[in-house]
Amino acid sequence: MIDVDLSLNKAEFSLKAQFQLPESGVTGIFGQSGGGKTTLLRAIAGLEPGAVGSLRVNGRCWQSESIFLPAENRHIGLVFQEPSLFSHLDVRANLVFGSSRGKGRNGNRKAHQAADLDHICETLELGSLLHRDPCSLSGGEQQRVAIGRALMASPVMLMMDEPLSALDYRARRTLMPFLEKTFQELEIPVLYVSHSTEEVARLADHLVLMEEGRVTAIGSIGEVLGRVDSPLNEVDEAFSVFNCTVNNHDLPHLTSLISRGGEVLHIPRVDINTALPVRLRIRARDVSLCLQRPQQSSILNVLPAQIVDISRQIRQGSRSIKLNVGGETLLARVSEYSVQLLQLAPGQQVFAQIKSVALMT
Amino acid sequence: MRYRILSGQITGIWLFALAAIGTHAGAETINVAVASNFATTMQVVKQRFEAEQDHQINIITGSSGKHFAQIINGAPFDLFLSADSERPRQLEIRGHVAIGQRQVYAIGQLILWSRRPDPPLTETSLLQHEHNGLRRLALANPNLAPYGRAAVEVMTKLGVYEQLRAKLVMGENVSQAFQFTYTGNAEFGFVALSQALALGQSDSGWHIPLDYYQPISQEMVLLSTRAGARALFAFLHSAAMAPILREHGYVSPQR
Amino acid sequence: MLEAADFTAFTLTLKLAGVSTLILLCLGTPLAWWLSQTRTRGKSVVEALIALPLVLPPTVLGFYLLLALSPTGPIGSTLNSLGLPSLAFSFAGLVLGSVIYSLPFVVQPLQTSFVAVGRRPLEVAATLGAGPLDRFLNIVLPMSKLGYLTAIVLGFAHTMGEFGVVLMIGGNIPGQTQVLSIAIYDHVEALEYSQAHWLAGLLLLFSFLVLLAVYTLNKRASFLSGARP
Repeated sequence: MIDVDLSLNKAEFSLKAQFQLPESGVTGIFGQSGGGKTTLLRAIAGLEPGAVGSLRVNGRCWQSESIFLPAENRHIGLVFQEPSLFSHLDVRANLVFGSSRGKGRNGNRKAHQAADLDHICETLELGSLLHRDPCSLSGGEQQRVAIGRALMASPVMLMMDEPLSALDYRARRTLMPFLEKTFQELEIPVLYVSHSTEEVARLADHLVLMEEGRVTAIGSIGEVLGRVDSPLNEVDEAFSVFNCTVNNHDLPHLTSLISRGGEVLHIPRVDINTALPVRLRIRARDVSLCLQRPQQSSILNVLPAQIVDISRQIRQGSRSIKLNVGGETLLARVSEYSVQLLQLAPGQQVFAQIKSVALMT
Repeated sequence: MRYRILSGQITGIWLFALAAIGTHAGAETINVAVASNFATTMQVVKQRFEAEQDHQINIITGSSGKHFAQIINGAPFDLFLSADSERPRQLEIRGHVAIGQRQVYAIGQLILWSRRPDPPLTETSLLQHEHNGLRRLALANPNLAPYGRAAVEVMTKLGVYEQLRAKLVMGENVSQAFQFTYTGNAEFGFVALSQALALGQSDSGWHIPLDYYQPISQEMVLLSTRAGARALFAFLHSAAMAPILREHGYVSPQR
Repeated sequence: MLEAADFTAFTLTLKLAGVSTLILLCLGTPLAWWLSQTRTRGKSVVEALIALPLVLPPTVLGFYLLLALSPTGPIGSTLNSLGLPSLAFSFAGLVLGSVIYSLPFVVQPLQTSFVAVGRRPLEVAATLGAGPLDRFLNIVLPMSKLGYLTAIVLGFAHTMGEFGVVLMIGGNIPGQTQVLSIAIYDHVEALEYSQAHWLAGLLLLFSFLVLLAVYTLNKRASFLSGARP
């Protein structure tokens, strides 16, 4: 259990965060820039000496009224937005910087280090870069080294602060699979700060929403995203995540997917292995509702759904509607006029038209 | 504020203009290079001279070695008052000075001086240097300054030079030797009587008899033919100088 | 030609510059580090004090040192009461003067390069388990290599060329306080111009060679460390 109760007052900003996180899995910390995500991460890492409160990780006290464990004794891996490699050391020396200082391991440290190095070089494809100078690497390569460096120290927790946002689109695309692969292998908790819905939808199991230094929502990704009063609605960012598997490529130009609830969805053809789990991100504003299954529509995906909840608040003339689609949660954004016209109410059976989906693999 | 700065500038321009007009009217501003040790005395000479004559004196103080180097490289000095007689002689040899325009203007007096007025210093203070806590004895560099050369002569005459050698600290000139002594970093110092007089603290020093060392003749040379320069040159070896020199610790060459 | 005394002055000057530079590095490193990290108000006062020798004529510093070293001055009386010898007219006194006089030439480049290292590499190193001393030795020092090179050259060269302070507190004792610049000055004053030429030429050549070596090294170092222009 990670038990956070930290606050910090700066000149024009204050952070006050109290929440608990499970000991494993990826927790996305999501919010707009300036919302305090980075400060929270730094406070947990022990890099904000002004932070007060208490912090316990896996039963160990990192911070309380009388204790402030310095960053070097917290054994965390922290990857910043910029790779921040040590420019005077080559890639290999960067990678082993933390592992040669680790105190947690007993026994033959050298052997462990060599094994870890081999493993991490393989996962992150760093083998050919080992003797290169950091500044001769591309941005994406540098970030891979930074991730490897953090992991080499055998941390008890991995934290990442917008690790992709300083990279260009192509580098982001290349690095994403590395992150997924890394996270799947890790047994330690990961805190992943981001303001990108795509990254969070794709990587996170849990979600902490932050706004103006406060935590506004917390829970599993499905829970947080599925709330009709989600703060995400305020910025028109609300979305749902569908876990699917690839069914077949039988139709020309289309790939069909099956959701966990057994619904079939179609997306423009992509070449991926069948039986592979994929995630779909569906924006609430891309989902509309009909009372009858529409005929002769250009829209590919129309799914039967039951209304679970309708937001009380009306934002920009629209309400958020939470739907149950074969057991999965789907959010829709519908104008107040339509809600009145169709007399929508919880429990009602409707059809959800999905204008577009984003495949997250 | 702005007005004041402006008025300052105007005053400056006025003075400049006056000086220019003055030059045309026969009154001159003459540049006199003066050895540092004579600078205070020269101020008195300047007042007296300017009260009597139309000419203005512009005093440039500095070390005589530097002045010498500047003169042979064309510095616009009309008159050079050296701290020694060697440099004026050299200038004469090198043809910067016409024959007969080199004169002794003052004879320096050496004094053994200490910052502490008690006990007063005497000849025995040097002879018993082992017993009176003397650790550092300041003097001017004997290779450069006549006061230093004279100090070495005195110590040699008393037969203590070799013994004292390890305790000697040298200033580049007699002013520095005085600084070392005045600040107490050197317990005793061979300094110029004129310096001790300027502080009003000459009584406690040992006034070294003049026959213990070769005279410290300070010579001057006339470097231009300007009327003002010639007038000052004449004034500096006139009888009028005797009381001024005596008052400031020098012996007048006119005896 | 040169006399034995001139060579003594030359080696003495090298020794003075070397010893002073070494002390300056030991003293300047913690001072520059503190200045680069602190945010206290006292910082500006300390910075201004360190920079004073840049603007003051050396003779002012020399004069105050002479007063401070005298038996009634603060340093002199303290040494006296501890039974230690006076620093005036001694090699140790010159070292003291040189250290004060050349302090900004060492502290400022170090401070600049410490600031240039930035907070980020230190934070990264901390999360990787490196404690404060570890961070300083293994991150700050190697990343400040060029700053140190600059500090050493400036500190050394500035002490080599020092004149005013030595003039005031030296006392011109051969082998102890008679340094090169004073020896040159004396030759000029004594009208021994050819000796002055030789000695000045030697100093000029030496200084040029040192600077040349440094700039060559500097170029190679920045090339090797891959520092971008």
